Amino acid sequence: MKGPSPVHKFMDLCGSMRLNVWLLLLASLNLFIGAVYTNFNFQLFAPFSNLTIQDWLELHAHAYPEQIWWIFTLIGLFAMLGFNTAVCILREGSDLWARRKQLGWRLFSVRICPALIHLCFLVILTGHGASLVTGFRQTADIAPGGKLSLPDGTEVAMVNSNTQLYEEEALKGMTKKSTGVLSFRNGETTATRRIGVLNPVFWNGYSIHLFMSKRQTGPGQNARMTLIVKKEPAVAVILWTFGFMIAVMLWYYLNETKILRRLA
Amino acid sequence: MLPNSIYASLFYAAFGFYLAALLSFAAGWRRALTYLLLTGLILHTAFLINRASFTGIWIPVAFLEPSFFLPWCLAALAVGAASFEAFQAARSLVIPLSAVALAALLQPHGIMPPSPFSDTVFSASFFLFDVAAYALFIAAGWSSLMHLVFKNKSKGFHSLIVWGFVAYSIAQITGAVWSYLGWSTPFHWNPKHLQSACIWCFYAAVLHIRFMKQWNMKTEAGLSLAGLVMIAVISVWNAAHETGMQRIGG
Repeated sequence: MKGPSPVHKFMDLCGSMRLNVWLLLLASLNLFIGAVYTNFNFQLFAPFSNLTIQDWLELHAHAYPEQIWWIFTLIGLFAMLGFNTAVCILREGSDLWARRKQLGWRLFSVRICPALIHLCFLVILTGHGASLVTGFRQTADIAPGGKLSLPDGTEVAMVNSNTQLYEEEALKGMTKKSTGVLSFRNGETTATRRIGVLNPVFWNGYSIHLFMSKRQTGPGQNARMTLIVKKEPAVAVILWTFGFMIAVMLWYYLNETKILRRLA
Repeated sequence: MLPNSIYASLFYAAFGFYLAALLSFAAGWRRALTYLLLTGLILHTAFLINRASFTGIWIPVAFLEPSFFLPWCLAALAVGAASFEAFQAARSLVIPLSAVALAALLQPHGIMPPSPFSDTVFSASFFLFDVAAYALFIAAGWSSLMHLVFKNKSKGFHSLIVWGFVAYSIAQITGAVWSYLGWSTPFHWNPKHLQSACIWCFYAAVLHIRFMKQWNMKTEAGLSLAGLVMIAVISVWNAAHETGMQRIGG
Protein backbone atom coordinates (compact mmCIF):
# COMPACT_ATOMS: atom_id res chain seq x y z
CA MET A 1 0.00 0.00 0.00
CA LYS A 2 1.30 3.42 -0.97
CA GLY A 3 1.78 5.94 1.91
CA PRO A 4 1.48 9.73 1.68
CA SER A 5 3.94 11.43 -0.66
CA PRO A 6 6.92 13.42 0.74
CA VAL A 7 5.22 16.66 -0.43
CA HIS A 8 2.10 15.66 1.46
CA LYS A 9 4.12 14.87 4.59
CA PHE A 10 5.97 18.19 4.32
CA MET A 11 2.69 20.11 3.98
CA ASP A 12 1.26 18.22 6.97
CA LEU A 13 4.25 19.26 9.03
CA CYS A 14 4.15 22.90 7.85
CA GLY A 15 0.44 23.23 8.49
CA SER A 16 0.33 21.34 11.76
CA MET A 17 -1.47 22.77 14.77
CA ARG A 18 1.40 21.74 17.03
CA LEU A 19 3.82 23.90 14.99
CA ASN A 20 1.32 26.76 15.05
CA VAL A 21 1.05 26.71 18.86
CA TRP A 22 4.83 26.55 19.31
CA LEU A 23 5.40 29.41 16.85
CA LEU A 24 2.82 31.58 18.64
CA LEU A 25 4.36 30.84 22.05
CA LEU A 26 7.87 31.56 20.76
CA ALA A 27 6.68 34.79 19.10
CA SER A 28 5.08 35.79 22.41
CA LEU A 29 8.34 35.15 24.27
CA ASN A 30 10.31 37.00 21.58
CA LEU A 31 7.97 40.01 21.87
CA PHE A 32 8.40 40.02 25.65
CA ILE A 33 12.19 40.06 25.22
CA GLY A 34 11.74 42.91 22.72
CA ALA A 35 9.66 44.85 25.24
CA VAL A 36 12.51 44.52 27.78
CA TYR A 37 15.12 45.72 25.25
CA THR A 38 13.02 48.70 24.12
CA ASN A 39 12.30 49.60 27.74
CA PHE A 40 16.01 50.04 28.48
CA ASN A 41 17.08 51.47 25.11
CA PHE A 42 14.31 53.90 24.24
CA GLN A 43 16.61 56.27 22.28
CA LEU A 44 17.71 53.47 19.97
CA PHE A 45 14.27 52.06 19.17
CA ALA A 46 12.11 55.24 19.14
CA PRO A 47 13.12 56.29 15.58
CA PHE A 48 12.28 52.80 14.24
CA SER A 49 8.55 53.56 14.29
CA ASN A 50 9.07 56.36 11.77
CA LEU A 51 11.66 54.76 9.49
CA THR A 52 11.88 51.73 7.22
CA ILE A 53 13.96 48.93 8.73
CA GLN A 54 16.79 49.46 6.21
CA ASP A 55 16.97 53.20 6.99
CA TRP A 56 16.82 52.59 10.73
CA LEU A 57 19.61 50.01 10.54
CA GLU A 58 21.76 52.32 8.43
CA LEU A 59 21.17 55.47 10.51
CA HIS A 60 20.85 54.18 14.06
CA ALA A 61 21.09 50.49 14.76
CA HIS A 62 23.80 48.76 12.67
CA ALA A 63 26.38 49.25 15.41
CA TYR A 64 24.31 47.52 18.10
CA PRO A 65 23.72 43.90 16.98
CA GLU A 66 23.54 42.77 20.62
CA GLN A 67 20.54 45.10 21.16
CA ILE A 68 18.57 44.34 17.99
CA TRP A 69 18.99 40.59 17.36
CA TRP A 70 15.47 39.89 18.63
CA ILE A 71 13.92 41.87 15.73
CA PHE A 72 15.39 39.40 13.24
CA THR A 73 14.30 36.33 15.19
CA LEU A 74 10.84 37.91 15.42
CA ILE A 75 10.69 38.46 11.65
CA GLY A 76 11.80 34.84 11.16
CA LEU A 77 9.12 33.52 13.53
CA PHE A 78 6.38 35.58 11.90
CA ALA A 79 7.52 34.46 8.43
CA MET A 80 7.20 30.81 9.55
CA LEU A 81 3.87 31.57 11.23
CA GLY A 82 2.66 33.17 8.00
CA PHE A 83 3.59 30.05 6.01
CA ASN A 84 1.98 27.77 8.60
CA THR A 85 -1.19 29.90 8.50
CA ALA A 86 -1.28 29.89 4.67
CA VAL A 87 -1.09 26.07 4.58
CA CYS A 88 -3.86 25.88 7.23
CA ILE A 89 -6.11 28.18 5.21
CA LEU A 90 -5.63 26.15 2.04
CA ARG A 91 -6.37 22.82 3.74
CA GLU A 92 -9.18 23.97 6.00
CA GLY A 93 -10.78 26.27 3.41
CA SER A 94 -10.73 23.83 0.49
CA ASP A 95 -12.14 21.03 2.63
CA LEU A 96 -15.02 23.18 3.90
CA TRP A 97 -15.72 24.68 0.47
CA ALA A 98 -16.18 21.18 -0.95
CA ARG A 99 -18.71 20.37 1.81
CA ARG A 100 -20.58 23.71 1.78
CA LYS A 101 -23.85 22.32 0.32
CA GLN A 102 -23.86 19.41 2.72
CA LEU A 103 -23.31 21.70 5.72
CA GLY A 104 -25.95 24.29 4.84
CA TRP A 105 -25.38 28.05 4.81
CA ARG A 106 -25.61 28.71 8.56
CA LEU A 107 -23.26 25.95 9.65
CA PHE A 108 -20.89 26.69 6.76
CA SER A 109 -20.80 30.41 7.68
CA VAL A 110 -19.66 29.47 11.19
CA ARG A 111 -17.26 26.67 10.25
CA ILE A 112 -15.51 28.83 7.64
CA CYS A 113 -14.76 31.53 10.25
CA PRO A 114 -11.42 30.09 11.50
CA ALA A 115 -10.14 30.00 7.89
CA LEU A 116 -11.31 33.61 7.38
CA ILE A 117 -9.70 34.72 10.68
CA HIS A 118 -6.45 33.04 9.60
CA LEU A 119 -6.67 34.75 6.20
CA CYS A 120 -7.11 38.13 7.90
CA PHE A 121 -4.15 37.39 10.17
CA LEU A 122 -2.04 36.58 7.11
CA VAL A 123 -3.07 39.85 5.41
CA ILE A 124 -2.24 41.81 8.61
CA LEU A 125 1.17 40.11 8.88
CA THR A 126 1.90 40.86 5.22
CA GLY A 127 0.79 44.47 5.73
CA HIS A 128 3.15 44.89 8.69
CA GLY A 129 5.93 43.28 6.65
CA ALA A 130 5.30 45.71 3.78
CA SER A 131 5.24 48.70 6.17
CA LEU A 132 8.57 47.59 7.59
CA VAL A 133 10.39 47.97 4.28
CA THR A 134 8.39 50.42 2.15
CA GLY A 135 6.60 53.75 2.40
CA PHE A 136 7.51 57.40 2.75
CA ARG A 137 8.06 59.09 6.13
CA GLN A 138 9.12 62.63 6.89
CA THR A 139 9.10 64.76 10.02
CA ALA A 140 9.12 68.55 9.78
CA ASP A 141 9.19 71.11 12.56
CA ILE A 142 7.64 74.22 11.03
CA ALA A 143 6.24 77.60 12.06
CA PRO A 144 3.34 79.38 10.31
CA GLY A 145 4.60 80.54 6.93
CA GLY A 146 6.97 77.54 6.77
CA LYS A 147 6.81 75.13 3.82
CA LEU A 148 7.67 71.55 2.98
CA SER A 149 7.61 69.58 -0.27
CA LEU A 150 6.15 66.15 -0.87
CA PRO A 151 7.81 63.69 -3.31
CA ASP A 152 4.87 64.11 -5.78
CA GLY A 153 5.76 67.81 -6.13
CA THR A 154 3.04 69.14 -3.81
CA GLU A 155 4.08 72.16 -1.79
CA VAL A 156 2.56 72.22 1.69
CA ALA A 157 2.56 75.46 3.68
CA MET A 158 1.42 76.05 7.24
CA VAL A 159 -0.93 79.03 7.09
CA ASN A 160 -1.49 79.35 10.82
CA SER A 161 -1.59 77.40 14.05
CA ASN A 162 -3.69 77.75 17.16
CA THR A 163 -3.33 76.39 20.69
CA GLN A 164 -6.21 76.38 23.14
CA LEU A 165 -5.62 75.88 26.86
CA TYR A 166 -7.91 74.59 29.63
CA GLU A 167 -9.50 77.27 31.76
CA GLU A 168 -10.62 75.04 34.64
CA GLU A 169 -8.66 75.74 37.85
CA ALA A 170 -7.24 72.21 38.21
CA LEU A 171 -6.09 72.10 34.59
CA LYS A 172 -4.98 75.69 34.05
CA GLY A 173 -2.14 76.07 31.55
CA MET A 174 -2.56 72.60 30.00
CA THR A 175 -3.10 72.22 26.28
CA LYS A 176 -6.69 71.42 25.35
CA LYS A 177 -6.58 71.61 21.59
CA SER A 178 -3.92 72.12 18.98
CA THR A 179 -4.94 72.95 15.41
CA GLY A 180 -3.56 74.52 12.28
CA VAL A 181 -4.40 75.32 8.67
CA LEU A 182 -2.38 73.86 5.80
CA SER A 183 -2.43 74.94 2.17
CA PHE A 184 -1.54 72.57 -0.67
CA ARG A 185 -0.32 73.52 -4.14
CA ASN A 186 0.48 71.09 -6.93
CA GLY A 187 0.52 72.75 -10.39
CA GLU A 188 -2.92 74.20 -10.94
CA THR A 189 -4.46 72.40 -7.96
CA THR A 190 -4.68 74.28 -4.69
CA ALA A 191 -6.54 73.47 -1.48
CA THR A 192 -6.70 74.50 2.15
CA ARG A 193 -7.29 71.98 4.95
CA ARG A 194 -7.64 72.21 8.71
CA ILE A 195 -5.36 69.88 10.67
CA GLY A 196 -5.44 68.98 14.38
CA VAL A 197 -3.98 66.55 16.87
CA LEU A 198 -5.79 63.22 16.16
CA ASN A 199 -7.25 64.86 13.06
CA PRO A 200 -4.80 64.20 10.21
CA VAL A 201 -5.11 65.51 6.67
CA PHE A 202 -5.15 63.05 3.75
CA TRP A 203 -3.74 64.25 0.43
CA ASN A 204 -2.91 62.18 -2.69
CA GLY A 205 -2.20 59.05 -0.67
CA TYR A 206 -0.19 60.94 1.97
CA SER A 207 -1.35 61.40 5.53
CA ILE A 208 -0.16 64.44 7.46
CA HIS A 209 -0.34 64.26 11.25
CA LEU A 210 0.00 67.16 13.64
CA PHE A 211 2.26 66.48 16.54
CA MET A 212 2.64 69.24 19.12
CA SER A 213 6.14 70.56 19.31
CA LYS A 214 7.77 70.60 22.73
CA ARG A 215 8.75 74.20 22.12
CA GLN A 216 5.09 75.15 22.13
CA THR A 217 4.46 76.25 25.70
CA GLY A 218 1.87 79.02 25.61
CA PRO A 219 -1.62 79.67 24.31
CA GLY A 220 -2.70 81.54 21.21
CA GLN A 221 -1.74 81.81 17.59
CA ASN A 222 1.20 80.85 15.43
CA ALA A 223 3.20 78.43 17.55
CA ARG A 224 5.73 76.09 15.88
CA MET A 225 4.42 72.59 15.31
CA THR A 226 5.78 69.23 14.25
CA LEU A 227 4.20 67.58 11.22
CA ILE A 228 4.65 63.91 10.37
CA VAL A 229 4.10 63.12 6.69
CA LYS A 230 3.54 59.48 5.76
CA LYS A 231 2.64 57.37 2.77
CA GLU A 232 1.99 53.82 3.92
CA PRO A 233 -0.75 52.17 1.88
CA ALA A 234 -0.51 49.03 4.01
CA VAL A 235 -1.84 50.83 7.10
CA ALA A 236 -5.39 51.09 5.72
CA VAL A 237 -5.31 47.41 4.73
CA ILE A 238 -4.09 46.41 8.22
CA LEU A 239 -6.75 48.44 10.05
CA TRP A 240 -9.73 47.42 7.87
CA THR A 241 -8.68 43.76 7.87
CA PHE A 242 -8.25 43.78 11.65
CA GLY A 243 -11.75 45.25 12.02
CA PHE A 244 -13.20 42.58 9.70
CA MET A 245 -11.32 39.86 11.60
CA ILE A 246 -12.94 40.93 14.87
CA ALA A 247 -16.40 40.91 13.26
CA VAL A 248 -15.77 37.33 12.01
CA MET A 249 -14.41 36.35 15.46
CA LEU A 250 -17.60 37.64 17.11
CA TRP A 251 -19.82 35.77 14.63
CA TYR A 252 -17.83 32.58 15.24
CA TYR A 253 -17.79 32.63 19.04
CA LEU A 254 -21.41 33.79 19.35
CA ASN A 255 -22.58 30.89 17.16
CA GLU A 256 -20.05 28.19 18.05
CA THR A 257 -21.62 27.36 21.41
CA LYS A 258 -25.17 27.31 20.03
CA ILE A 259 -24.25 25.03 17.12
CA LEU A 260 -22.18 22.66 19.26
CA ARG A 261 -25.10 22.42 21.71
CA ARG A 262 -27.54 21.67 18.87
CA LEU A 263 -25.26 19.02 17.36
CA ALA A 264 -24.82 17.41 20.78
CA MET B 1 -18.76 65.96 42.55
CA LEU B 2 -16.53 65.77 45.64
CA PRO B 3 -13.22 67.51 46.33
CA ASN B 4 -10.36 65.20 45.45
CA SER B 5 -9.27 64.84 49.10
CA ILE B 6 -12.68 63.33 49.92
CA TYR B 7 -13.33 61.26 46.80
CA ALA B 8 -10.21 59.15 47.47
CA SER B 9 -11.81 57.95 50.70
CA LEU B 10 -14.57 56.33 48.61
CA PHE B 11 -11.98 53.87 47.32
CA TYR B 12 -10.77 53.12 50.86
CA ALA B 13 -14.39 52.38 51.80
CA ALA B 14 -14.84 50.16 48.72
CA PHE B 15 -11.65 48.31 49.63
CA GLY B 16 -12.99 47.80 53.14
CA PHE B 17 -16.12 46.13 51.74
CA TYR B 18 -14.03 43.93 49.43
CA LEU B 19 -12.01 42.80 52.48
CA ALA B 20 -15.21 42.11 54.40
CA ALA B 21 -16.41 40.08 51.39
CA LEU B 22 -13.16 38.13 51.52
CA LEU B 23 -13.77 37.35 55.19
CA SER B 24 -17.35 36.26 54.53
CA PHE B 25 -16.05 34.02 51.71
CA ALA B 26 -13.61 32.42 54.18
CA ALA B 27 -16.46 31.99 56.70
CA GLY B 28 -18.78 30.56 54.03
CA TRP B 29 -21.46 33.29 54.37
CA ARG B 30 -22.67 33.25 50.76
CA ARG B 31 -25.48 35.77 51.02
CA ALA B 32 -23.37 38.33 52.90
CA LEU B 33 -20.62 37.92 50.29
CA THR B 34 -22.91 39.07 47.46
CA TYR B 35 -24.20 42.13 49.35
CA LEU B 36 -20.74 43.16 50.56
CA LEU B 37 -19.33 42.88 47.05
CA LEU B 38 -22.24 44.86 45.62
CA THR B 39 -21.81 47.66 48.20
CA GLY B 40 -18.07 47.76 47.47
CA LEU B 41 -18.80 47.96 43.74
CA ILE B 42 -21.25 50.86 44.22
CA LEU B 43 -18.71 52.84 46.30
CA HIS B 44 -16.00 51.99 43.78
CA THR B 45 -18.21 53.29 40.93
CA ALA B 46 -18.82 56.54 42.87
CA PHE B 47 -15.04 56.87 43.33
CA LEU B 48 -14.41 56.42 39.59
CA ILE B 49 -17.14 58.90 38.63
CA ASN B 50 -15.67 61.51 40.99
CA ARG B 51 -12.16 60.73 39.80
CA ALA B 52 -13.19 61.38 36.20
CA SER B 53 -15.01 64.63 36.97
CA PHE B 54 -13.33 66.39 39.93
CA THR B 55 -11.40 68.74 37.63
CA GLY B 56 -14.67 70.27 36.41
CA ILE B 57 -14.75 68.40 33.09
CA TRP B 58 -15.51 64.76 32.36
CA ILE B 59 -12.29 62.85 31.53
CA PRO B 60 -13.24 59.31 30.42
CA VAL B 61 -9.67 58.03 30.55
CA ALA B 62 -9.50 58.93 34.26
CA PHE B 63 -12.50 56.60 34.82
CA LEU B 64 -10.87 53.83 32.79
CA GLU B 65 -7.27 54.07 34.01
CA PRO B 66 -6.09 50.47 34.59
CA SER B 67 -4.93 50.75 38.22
CA PHE B 68 -8.45 51.53 39.49
CA PHE B 69 -10.65 50.25 36.65
CA LEU B 70 -9.13 46.73 36.74
CA PRO B 71 -10.36 46.02 40.31
CA TRP B 72 -13.75 47.51 39.29
CA CYS B 73 -14.01 45.02 36.39
CA LEU B 74 -13.01 42.15 38.67
CA ALA B 75 -15.56 43.27 41.26
CA ALA B 76 -18.27 43.39 38.57
CA LEU B 77 -17.30 39.85 37.48
CA ALA B 78 -17.31 38.66 41.11
CA VAL B 79 -20.76 40.21 41.75
CA GLY B 80 -22.04 38.53 38.57
CA ALA B 81 -20.54 35.20 39.63
CA ALA B 82 -21.87 35.44 43.18
CA SER B 83 -25.39 36.37 42.02
CA PHE B 84 -25.98 33.31 39.84
CA GLU B 85 -26.24 29.84 41.27
CA ALA B 86 -24.54 28.36 38.18
CA PHE B 87 -21.34 30.29 38.84
CA GLN B 88 -21.09 29.69 42.58
CA ALA B 89 -17.67 28.09 42.11
CA ALA B 90 -16.39 31.46 40.91
CA ARG B 91 -17.11 33.14 44.26
CA SER B 92 -13.42 32.75 45.10
CA LEU B 93 -12.77 35.57 42.58
CA VAL B 94 -12.99 37.78 45.66
CA ILE B 95 -9.38 36.68 46.44
CA PRO B 96 -7.69 38.08 43.29
CA LEU B 97 -10.07 41.08 43.52
CA SER B 98 -8.78 41.91 47.02
CA ALA B 99 -5.16 41.54 45.84
CA VAL B 100 -5.68 43.82 42.81
CA ALA B 101 -7.60 46.38 44.93
CA LEU B 102 -4.76 46.36 47.48
CA ALA B 103 -2.26 47.01 44.65
CA ALA B 104 -4.46 49.94 43.50
CA LEU B 105 -4.43 51.32 47.03
CA LEU B 106 -0.64 51.62 46.80
CA GLN B 107 -0.90 53.63 43.55
CA PRO B 108 -1.22 57.44 43.43
CA HIS B 109 -4.96 58.25 43.24
CA GLY B 110 -4.48 61.40 41.13
CA ILE B 111 -5.29 61.38 37.42
CA MET B 112 -3.06 61.62 34.36
CA PRO B 113 -3.45 65.13 32.94
CA PRO B 114 -5.73 65.23 29.89
CA SER B 115 -4.10 66.05 26.58
CA PRO B 116 -5.31 66.62 23.01
CA PHE B 117 -4.03 63.10 22.28
CA SER B 118 -6.50 61.48 24.66
CA ASP B 119 -9.52 63.46 23.45
CA THR B 120 -11.01 60.74 21.24
CA VAL B 121 -13.47 57.89 21.52
CA PHE B 122 -10.68 55.53 20.43
CA SER B 123 -8.59 56.14 23.57
CA ALA B 124 -11.60 55.50 25.84
CA SER B 125 -12.55 52.37 23.86
CA PHE B 126 -8.99 51.14 24.01
CA PHE B 127 -8.81 51.42 27.82
CA LEU B 128 -12.31 49.98 28.27
CA PHE B 129 -11.63 46.81 26.26
CA ASP B 130 -7.98 46.48 27.31
CA VAL B 131 -8.75 46.52 31.03
CA ALA B 132 -11.87 44.35 30.60
CA ALA B 133 -9.71 41.79 28.77
CA TYR B 134 -7.12 41.86 31.58
CA ALA B 135 -9.90 41.20 34.11
CA LEU B 136 -11.20 38.26 32.05
CA PHE B 137 -7.68 36.82 31.68
CA ILE B 138 -7.10 37.16 35.44
CA ALA B 139 -10.43 35.46 36.14
CA ALA B 140 -9.50 32.70 33.66
CA GLY B 141 -6.09 32.22 35.30
CA TRP B 142 -7.67 32.10 38.74
CA SER B 143 -10.33 29.66 37.59
CA SER B 144 -7.66 27.39 36.06
CA LEU B 145 -5.70 27.51 39.33
CA MET B 146 -8.85 26.26 41.09
CA HIS B 147 -9.15 23.56 38.41
CA LEU B 148 -5.54 22.42 38.88
CA VAL B 149 -5.12 22.72 42.64
CA PHE B 150 -8.57 21.96 44.03
CA LYS B 151 -9.64 19.66 41.17
CA ASN B 152 -12.58 21.94 40.51
CA LYS B 153 -14.50 20.41 37.58
CA SER B 154 -15.52 23.77 36.14
CA LYS B 155 -14.25 24.36 32.59
CA GLY B 156 -15.37 27.98 32.68
CA PHE B 157 -11.86 29.32 32.16
CA HIS B 158 -12.02 28.48 28.44
CA SER B 159 -15.01 30.83 27.92
CA LEU B 160 -13.25 33.53 29.96
CA ILE B 161 -10.18 33.19 27.72
CA VAL B 162 -12.33 33.32 24.56
CA TRP B 163 -14.13 36.53 25.58
CA GLY B 164 -10.94 37.99 27.03
CA PHE B 165 -9.28 37.39 23.68
CA VAL B 166 -12.17 38.99 21.76
CA ALA B 167 -12.09 42.05 24.08
CA TYR B 168 -8.32 42.22 23.78
CA SER B 169 -8.52 42.10 19.98
CA ILE B 170 -11.05 44.97 20.01
CA ALA B 171 -8.63 46.90 22.27
CA GLN B 172 -5.85 46.27 19.76
CA ILE B 173 -7.81 47.64 16.79
CA THR B 174 -9.12 50.70 18.66
CA GLY B 175 -5.61 51.29 20.04
CA ALA B 176 -4.11 50.94 16.55
CA VAL B 177 -6.56 53.49 15.09
CA TRP B 178 -5.86 55.87 18.02
CA SER B 179 -2.10 55.46 17.54
CA TYR B 180 -2.40 56.00 13.77
CA LEU B 181 -4.50 59.17 14.06
CA GLY B 182 -2.31 60.66 16.78
CA TRP B 183 1.19 59.39 16.09
CA SER B 184 0.95 58.36 12.40
CA THR B 185 1.58 54.64 12.87
CA PRO B 186 -0.61 51.83 14.22
CA PHE B 187 2.36 50.07 15.78
CA HIS B 188 5.26 51.56 17.71
CA TRP B 189 8.42 49.71 18.63
CA ASN B 190 7.99 50.56 22.31
CA PRO B 191 7.46 48.39 25.42
CA LYS B 192 3.70 49.00 25.62
CA HIS B 193 2.94 47.90 22.04
CA LEU B 194 5.33 44.95 22.21
CA GLN B 195 3.74 43.79 25.50
CA SER B 196 0.30 43.97 23.85
CA ALA B 197 1.46 41.89 20.89
CA CYS B 198 3.10 39.45 23.35
CA ILE B 199 -0.19 38.96 25.26
CA TRP B 200 -2.22 38.64 22.03
CA CYS B 201 0.10 35.94 20.60
CA PHE B 202 0.14 34.07 23.92
CA TYR B 203 -3.65 33.84 24.20
CA ALA B 204 -3.95 33.04 20.47
CA ALA B 205 -1.70 30.03 21.25
CA VAL B 206 -3.87 29.08 24.25
CA LEU B 207 -7.00 29.13 22.06
CA HIS B 208 -5.31 26.92 19.44
CA ILE B 209 -4.22 24.30 22.01
CA ARG B 210 -7.77 22.88 21.98
CA PHE B 211 -7.38 21.82 18.33
CA MET B 212 -4.21 19.81 18.95
CA LYS B 213 -4.47 16.03 19.00
CA GLN B 214 -2.54 15.90 22.28
CA TRP B 215 -4.87 18.46 23.92
CA ASN B 216 -6.11 17.96 27.44
CA MET B 217 -7.80 20.24 29.97
CA LYS B 218 -4.77 20.21 32.25
CA THR B 219 -2.45 21.65 29.58
CA GLU B 220 -4.92 24.42 28.77
CA ALA B 221 -5.38 25.22 32.48
CA GLY B 222 -1.58 25.27 32.95
CA LEU B 223 -1.14 27.74 30.09
CA SER B 224 -4.00 29.88 31.37
CA LEU B 225 -2.25 30.01 34.75
CA ALA B 226 1.02 30.99 33.02
CA GLY B 227 -0.99 33.76 31.34
CA LEU B 228 -2.08 34.99 34.78
CA VAL B 229 1.58 35.23 35.84
CA MET B 230 2.44 37.08 32.61
CA ILE B 231 -0.45 39.55 33.11
CA ALA B 232 0.70 40.16 36.71
CA VAL B 233 4.31 40.80 35.64
CA ILE B 234 3.26 43.18 32.83
CA SER B 235 0.78 45.02 35.10
CA VAL B 236 3.42 45.57 37.81
CA TRP B 237 5.90 46.69 35.13
CA ASN B 238 3.44 49.24 33.71
CA ALA B 239 2.35 50.45 37.16
CA ALA B 240 6.01 51.02 38.13
CA HIS B 241 6.52 52.95 34.89
CA GLU B 242 3.45 55.14 35.51
CA THR B 243 4.26 55.88 39.16
CA GLY B 244 6.78 58.56 38.22
CA MET B 245 4.42 60.38 35.84
CA GLN B 246 2.90 63.79 36.51
CA ARG B 247 -0.57 63.56 38.11
CA ILE B 248 -3.34 65.92 39.15
CA GLY B 249 -4.95 65.50 42.54
CA GLY B 250 -2.41 63.39 44.43
